[in-house]
Amino acid sequence: MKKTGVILALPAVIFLIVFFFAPFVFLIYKSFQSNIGILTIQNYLKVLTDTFYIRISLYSLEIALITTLLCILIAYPASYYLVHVVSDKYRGLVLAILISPFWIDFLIRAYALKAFFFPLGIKEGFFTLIYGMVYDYFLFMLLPLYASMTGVSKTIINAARIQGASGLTLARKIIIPLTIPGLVAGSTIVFMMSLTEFVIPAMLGGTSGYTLGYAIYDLFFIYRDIYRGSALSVIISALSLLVAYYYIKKTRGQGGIFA
Amino acid sequence: MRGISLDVMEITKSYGKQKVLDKVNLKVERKEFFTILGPSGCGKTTLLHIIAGLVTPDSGKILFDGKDVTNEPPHKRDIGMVFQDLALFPHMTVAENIAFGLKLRNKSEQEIKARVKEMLELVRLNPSEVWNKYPAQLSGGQQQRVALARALAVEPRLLLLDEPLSHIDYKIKQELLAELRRIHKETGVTTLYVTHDQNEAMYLSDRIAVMNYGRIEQIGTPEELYNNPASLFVASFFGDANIVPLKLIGNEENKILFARLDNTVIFKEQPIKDGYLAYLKGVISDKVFMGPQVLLEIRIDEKHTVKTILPRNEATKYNIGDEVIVAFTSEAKIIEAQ
Ligand SMILES: Nc1ncnc2c1ncn2[C@@H]1O[C@H](COP(=O)(O)OP(=O)(O)OP(=O)(O)O)[C@@H](O)[C@H]1O
Ligand SMILES: [Mg+2]
Repeated sequence: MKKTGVILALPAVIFLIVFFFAPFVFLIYKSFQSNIGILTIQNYLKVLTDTFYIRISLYSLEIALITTLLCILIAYPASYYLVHVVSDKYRGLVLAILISPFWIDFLIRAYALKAFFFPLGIKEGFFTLIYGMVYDYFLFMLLPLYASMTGVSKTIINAARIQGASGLTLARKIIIPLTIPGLVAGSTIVFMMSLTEFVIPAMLGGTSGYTLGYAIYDLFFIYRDIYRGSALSVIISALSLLVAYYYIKKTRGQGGIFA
Repeated sequence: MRGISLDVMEITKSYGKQKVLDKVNLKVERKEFFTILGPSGCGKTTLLHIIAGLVTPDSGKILFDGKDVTNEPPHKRDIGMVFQDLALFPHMTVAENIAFGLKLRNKSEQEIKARVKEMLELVRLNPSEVWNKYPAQLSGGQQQRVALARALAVEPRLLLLDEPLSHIDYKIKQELLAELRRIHKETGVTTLYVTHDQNEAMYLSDRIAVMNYGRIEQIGTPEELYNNPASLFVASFFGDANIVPLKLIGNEENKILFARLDNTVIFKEQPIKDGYLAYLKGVISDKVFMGPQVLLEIRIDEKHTVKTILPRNEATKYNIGDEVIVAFTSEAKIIEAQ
């Protein structure tokens, strides 16, 4: 019985090793190489001491934080509305409408946004960049929040209202504490993904579009410096892993999506 | 505590085509323990939610101490409520649950602590033992007590209880019923209790409203309802009773004889003394020992059985299979069939 399990899982394990871990190991290997093939930590030193990359990292961090925050601000009321206001009959329909744009490829969605801003005379820049990011990542915040919100029963909310809570107090004392797992899961995903996002800044960012993802792209494909490009990628990946690890530790046993 | 009076005036509520409440009227006096008694699905919770402001009625008014509060939101009504499924806040300790409403009322830390302790003592929980526990760490009966303590902590003007004992074991239920009675006497808060259990209703209430399909069938003290039920529904729902069609006794009229168990008597032979309402022949089909009393079931024909209660020593005269004559004392009533 146990043996068949191992055999059945083998193709998936091999697939993961070959197509997921191997490129990453290759990336790490390259990041410790100089352009004449000697092992070195020069690439890391260069990236970490170059004010240019530090400035870009901080800028990308800012974009990721703003995107995450805006996603939270929109997705919280939306998930509350979906679970506790919309009647059972229409919930599926409203959810389907909210999800429908995400059936379309994200590149086409980005073009659609471009076509939407242009006739309105909105110049591409920081605003359109954030708009595009929030538009693209909103769903990754909504779905975990929605899942958490369904766990907050109507009577709990009613009990709090009768005790005298309403509006923001109700949100702060009851709804947010009870949906923390969804909030943290959504924030982690949106933050990690928007930190290295490359397409949206490139397409909608205008002159404000030079972000970390863009910089990595340039290192690889413009400057052909795959060693420094790898080093920068490894640093970002390590940071992302750290965020994910922190999340898993934080929400273990609380019904989070990774728990 | 400040007990208010409550008026429910012509409250009507429909969900889609279903009329859940149909012109409900009742008045609960200050400091009264009032119970709404009715079968599952008759609209009890809906009515309670309308009184609490959680559901808006289609028409009608709710008055607190004569003042119209129909459009006040729940957080401004200053009431306490225990829900059918308790609804304790799972992320807060027992103390935090009870303190929730007090904090919102900007009470001082010291005041809150003292009040939480007082409430825990009122519902007979050991403060030091449960203070820092989470609801999931408590037994069903303890959770019930915490829910009650939370509802009472804010000194509500009105206490609403929605079948708070329906999921509780018999033994603990009896215990909590006694506590509820005592707590009502001690606090004097106007209380509206909802249940489908007539024994709870009888034990606790000053007055009871019997409800069926969204209508109030009758309002009265337990004794009034027991002795003078206004309808067959009330008669059968409130207290055990024998209901016998008069046709069974050879009477042509489409009427029904209604008798409480203690108004139903049995004899070995036709009694000489008269004054009984009707006589029926039957066979004892069951005998149930219930402590000081014995319940006897007598089969009249295929479709009809009647029940009576005898003191234990009296019941030894009768055995299953004995032929007996059933009679009804003059307290039994003849009512229209519906
Ligand atoms: N939000 C709602 N939407 C549609 N129908 C509802 C809603 N709330 C209640 N109902 C219906 O109204 C009727 C009365 O419900 P209610 O919960 O008031 O009954 P109840 O007397 O409290 O029953 P129980 O003893 O089972 O708790 C039921 O038929 C129920 O299906
Ligand atoms: Mg109910």
